Amino acid sequence: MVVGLATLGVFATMGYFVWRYRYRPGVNETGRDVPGSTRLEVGWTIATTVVFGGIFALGAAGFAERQHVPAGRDVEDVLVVGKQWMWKFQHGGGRREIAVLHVPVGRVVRLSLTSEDVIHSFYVPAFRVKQDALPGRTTTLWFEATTPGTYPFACAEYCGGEHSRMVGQIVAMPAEAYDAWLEHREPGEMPLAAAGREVFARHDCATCHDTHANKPAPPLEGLVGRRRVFEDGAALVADEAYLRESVLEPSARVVAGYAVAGRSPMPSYAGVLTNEELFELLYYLRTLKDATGVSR
Amino acid sequence: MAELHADARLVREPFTDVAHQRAAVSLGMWVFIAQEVLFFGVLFVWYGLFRAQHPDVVAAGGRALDVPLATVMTVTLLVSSFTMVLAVRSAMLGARRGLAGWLAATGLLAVAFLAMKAWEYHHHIAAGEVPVVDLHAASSVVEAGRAQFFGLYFVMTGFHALHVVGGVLVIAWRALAAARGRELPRWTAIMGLGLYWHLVDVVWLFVFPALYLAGHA
Amino acid sequence: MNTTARTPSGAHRFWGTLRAWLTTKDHKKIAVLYLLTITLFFVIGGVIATIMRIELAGPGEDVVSAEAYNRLFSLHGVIMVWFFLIPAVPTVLGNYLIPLMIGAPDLAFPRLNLASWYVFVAGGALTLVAMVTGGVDTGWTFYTPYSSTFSQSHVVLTVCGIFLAGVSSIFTGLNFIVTIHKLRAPGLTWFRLPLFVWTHYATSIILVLATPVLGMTLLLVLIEHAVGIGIFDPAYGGDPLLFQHFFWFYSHPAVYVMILPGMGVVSEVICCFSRRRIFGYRFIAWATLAIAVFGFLVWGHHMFVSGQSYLASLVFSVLSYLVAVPSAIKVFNWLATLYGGAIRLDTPMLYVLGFIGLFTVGGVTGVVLATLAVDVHLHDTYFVVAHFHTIMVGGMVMAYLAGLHFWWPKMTGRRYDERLGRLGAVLVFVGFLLTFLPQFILGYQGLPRRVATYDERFHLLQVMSSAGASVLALGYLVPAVALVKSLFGKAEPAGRNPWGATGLEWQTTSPPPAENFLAQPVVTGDAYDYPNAPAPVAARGGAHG
Repeated sequence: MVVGLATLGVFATMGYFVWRYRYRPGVNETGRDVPGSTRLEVGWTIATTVVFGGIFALGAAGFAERQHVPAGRDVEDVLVVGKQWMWKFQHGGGRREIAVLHVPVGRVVRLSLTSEDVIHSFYVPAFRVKQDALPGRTTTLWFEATTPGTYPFACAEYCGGEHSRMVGQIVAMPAEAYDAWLEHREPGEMPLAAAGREVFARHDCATCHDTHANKPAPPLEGLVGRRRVFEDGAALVADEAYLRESVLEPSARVVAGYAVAGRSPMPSYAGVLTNEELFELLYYLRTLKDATGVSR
Repeated sequence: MAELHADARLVREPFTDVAHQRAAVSLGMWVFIAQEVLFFGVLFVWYGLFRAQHPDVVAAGGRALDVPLATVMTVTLLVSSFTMVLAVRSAMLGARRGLAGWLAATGLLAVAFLAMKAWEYHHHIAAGEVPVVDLHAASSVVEAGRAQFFGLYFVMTGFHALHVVGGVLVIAWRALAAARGRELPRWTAIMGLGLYWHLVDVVWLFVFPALYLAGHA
Repeated sequence: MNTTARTPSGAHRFWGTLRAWLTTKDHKKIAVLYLLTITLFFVIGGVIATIMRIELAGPGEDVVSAEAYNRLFSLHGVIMVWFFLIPAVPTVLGNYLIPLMIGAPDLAFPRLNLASWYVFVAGGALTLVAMVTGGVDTGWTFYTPYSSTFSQSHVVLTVCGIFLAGVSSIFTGLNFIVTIHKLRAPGLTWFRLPLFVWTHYATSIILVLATPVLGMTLLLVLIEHAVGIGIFDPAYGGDPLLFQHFFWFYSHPAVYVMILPGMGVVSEVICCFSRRRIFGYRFIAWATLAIAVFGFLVWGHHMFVSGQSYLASLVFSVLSYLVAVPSAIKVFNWLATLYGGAIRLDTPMLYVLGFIGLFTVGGVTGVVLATLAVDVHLHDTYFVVAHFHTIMVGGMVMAYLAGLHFWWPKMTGRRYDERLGRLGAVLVFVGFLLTFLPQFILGYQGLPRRVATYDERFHLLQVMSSAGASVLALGYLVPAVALVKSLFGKAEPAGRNPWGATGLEWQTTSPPPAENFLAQPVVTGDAYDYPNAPAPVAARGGAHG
């Protein structure tokens, strides 16, 4: 609105001046000799800065809102994997789909995006959201559908040959219908936490990460959200990014007391776990927030 | 102060006097050096980011490099900067033979630097310390990290070495011209060459601690 | 007998002339060489754009395949950005006019100037070779890891071509900086310089300080593509966002390389045809430098949804507003210059009024895009495409055409057909709006950029845009005809100063002699002394008013 008015203002002023001060022989043959006005210059500099400052504040506030899921809301987690040239989805409840994404109305849907090859970008015009999906790291995006219906999505970052066909639809359905839909799992599809526990078991993580014995690794129960102190004295509150780093690059930050010769005794799992396995594992570790022991 | 060599024949269009032209060439060289700094700056940002993310990989990589040899290389370049200063001085004084001699000395030191560099490259490649990441062969992340460090090493030292090669070619050309006496020592040009040569030296003075001394603290 | 005897001598004369041109160290002739080269690239880029618009008139793969379309938009971007938009005003108008405007016989380093043209031609040739042997399909942005490890197209050749164009840019920028510092006429102090020279000074600083970053970054892409060293591809341990930081560190300032010289043209023309001093000379000069400096600090606003940190996005958003403030100041000053003038609507002035209008549209849509929450929706859509075309084509190309018409009598000594010139200006402006206004709406409706196929619901607006593009294409032909026509037949001689303009370049003959001025000019007053300028000489064809 503001910018539309500003544009019209400039056009109108320009048009008026060009007409009003047009060259007319005998009437208007030379221009007035006014070199400038510092007061005017300072005035419109400040005015523009103030207006721009206001627009910035509005934009930043809206952007901040998109950064974090609102507190106290139920969250539906979905893993989104971009791949030349399709979108693959894996629901927290275990169902997988391609090119169509079912979501519940009235619940916050949090997407964890990654890519298997080049950079893609998940774009839902109707929800005004967009987030790049990068290979080798995970980005997140949340939205909430308010009305049932279908909403197209597309890939917004050019990714090669069939980029323009990397499109699909979000199907927003009432929450109960969605829950029912989630239950129709195909054979082999299991809820993410269970799948993550299987990854955990398959790689014998519990051999070290077991609280019931004096093992060479820190316990994992209640890890997320807890403060960790490292070998070099630094500290942080464990979040998903930290968990990811610990799995992929264990020696980057070693919890105080667990280093062996300055490094973590744990091998790196980079390249060992697939994107999906890593997501499942991290999902599982998050569910351990309130657990008291790692069950085998 | 010794009398500076000034001759109207050294002036090129659009300038009409030597001092004016020299001031312009000097400014031009500094602008050129500014863009070189940004050119190498990209490599140092890459390095800085990599080192911040993988400090132990860089430390381990630094320990795999040959510090004594690199120290000799550093000294060689520093001495060559000194002989270049003497060459510029000879040009200023119109001493043709002195110019030819000091340029030749600078060029020979630079060639010595390149020879050591070539030997070092050969040594690393023979030892399998190559930058190319073979996704199938790399059995561990440590090996992949090592390849990345050598990627940094080869790219950074490679671009520096290319600048040395360019410098050597121009130095050889000017030295021959001075030795044959076909033209007057155009000391404005030699001054520009000198500035370039000091830049090449200074870049190395950043490359040396960044790569070789990592992990030796 | 006569004819056989004359033919070799004619051929001889031809080769002699050609050799004289190809070895010239005269900045005016080098500018003409650039003019020819750049026009060629503009035509190639324009033809590609035409094929794209034809393909986009239908929602499917109607005329060309998706693979081919990807190559078309990549080449369109590469050619237009590096071989037209960035070099056009500096290397043609800047090259021709800076020594004239500051009262110098030539640029500081004439041989470097010629060398930069050869390097530019070599870079263009490599890019064209890449184009005819299969092209490149990475987009002009070369985002990694697609460009470095996935694309099967001619990335290496194209990157080498762009690298050479960059070297040429650096040479030109260096030459301008030294020339403006060291070769100003006696009495021509910094704040007496025409604003055209100021904008070229700011542009040159950007060229010299930003282009090497692009050069090295593209070389790193080339190294990763050719050798397989892990730099940007995470599969090899690299960082894909690092590329985007480097790339936009160059490519955002590069936008100001395109627009700042155009602003210089606008400042010259608007004073001349309003018969007034520029309003707020010093503020425009400082705003020019402010744009150049802030332009280096806003690259991250291309990456709000890339996964960079929240804090980084906030900082880049603030800085983007800061760069918009001096741009707005310039527009206000131009409007204030119109106030109280005696305005004549000759061809250059029509282009300049078009520039101010379209630059405002481009500017305010830029402010829209810098707004974080809104950019999340509009990033990488047709809205962005329309925004930067408004700045680059609406702004820069209009300014380039304004300058070309304004100084054409000086460069050739002839006047062009004024009525044809004005027709061209109106057609280009209308054609532009018809082409790109629908694209703003398409972007708002959520059509991503760089798509060969699209959903039916976007069809109508796409057809409207393509129809508008045909008007625009026609519009570009008219000035070409008007200008070329003036070179043949009995076009009216221009005289020294047909527009009654101030500035040293108008005090010498048209075209100027090889040494520019027969006696060293001396400057005694400020630029734009229009109250004391000679009256314009009306062209035969068009009456003023």
